[in-house]
Amino acid sequence: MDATRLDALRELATIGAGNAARALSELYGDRLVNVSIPAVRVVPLARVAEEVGGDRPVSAVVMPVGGRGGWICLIFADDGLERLCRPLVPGGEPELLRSGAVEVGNITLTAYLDALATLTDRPLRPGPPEPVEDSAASLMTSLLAASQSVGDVILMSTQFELDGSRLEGQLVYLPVRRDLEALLERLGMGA
Amino acid sequence: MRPLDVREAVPTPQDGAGPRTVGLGELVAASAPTRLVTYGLGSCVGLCLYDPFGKVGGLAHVFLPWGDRDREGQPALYANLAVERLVAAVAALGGDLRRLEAKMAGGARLFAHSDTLNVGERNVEAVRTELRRLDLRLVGEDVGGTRGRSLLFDLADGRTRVTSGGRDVRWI
Repeated sequence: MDATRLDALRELATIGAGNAARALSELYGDRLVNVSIPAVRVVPLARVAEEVGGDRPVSAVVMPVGGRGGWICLIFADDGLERLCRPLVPGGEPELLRSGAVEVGNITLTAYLDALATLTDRPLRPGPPEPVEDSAASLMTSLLAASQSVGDVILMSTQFELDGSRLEGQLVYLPVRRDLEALLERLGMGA
Repeated sequence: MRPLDVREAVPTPQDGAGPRTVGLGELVAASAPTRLVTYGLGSCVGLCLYDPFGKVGGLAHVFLPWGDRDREGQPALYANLAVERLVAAVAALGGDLRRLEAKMAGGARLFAHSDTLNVGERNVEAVRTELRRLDLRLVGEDVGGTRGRSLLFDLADGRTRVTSGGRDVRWI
């Protein structure tokens, strides 16, 4: 993938991330959401486990995209997802925190996909979201295995902060090659 | 048994005291005192083979149960090809096939709803099938469940440490 096409994807991710940030801000009222410029990286499959952070524990909401093996996920270090949901669940019941996490993930990730779909006039149907707590590496390799994808990995990731830097998260989109090609096609960047 | 493929049977250099990392779909054969480590065994399976007398062995990070298309530098992507290649790599370093002991870890199911294929369970079954086909003895395992794992394999004594969530430690 050449630099121009990566730039086009970064543009796309920027708009998606903006939408996701707006959705998060609405959810959390006046808490500040900061979004950094998205990174689009091509990572060799063999290096994915180390690249995403190895054994570092993360909490995440994962969501299949389009039913064809693409994934999008909202990832926080440690138990960040639970901390994120606590203000929404005053009692702090584990079951409610869990469903709260799914809801936060659902709203944020769907907002990201909506922006991409609108921009490129291509449907990117979100599947059911699911919360996961594990290591960064296990999470990512399992997503790739579930999509049976053996090529280089295109990681479209955006860092964001809530409440200053107290909660840092990452939004990662792992598109299947076919969706990726179609998105670039719509942007006039087809192969 | 078919002739062994020795394309990947390349001795590994010693790189200091730290363990050598085996990436997804890779396999590495080595001898004592090397230590091998692999991260991110979610649905993937880490397979160790060890010759306790020769103190040589190898580690493969298996990604999917079955496949026929190879990718350069990743001979262990598929269980149906990986096990035999790992045997060949260990044999090329002088490992005695009759003494080889196998251990495996991984094959979890992290996504209860979305992972409809249950790749982890199928990976474990595919590795078992290959071990049986090649007459290899499985002496230890930590497979299944819902948590990802990491694995550290010490060629000095064949001990294999499995960690889950960076905390729970189990020796197999």
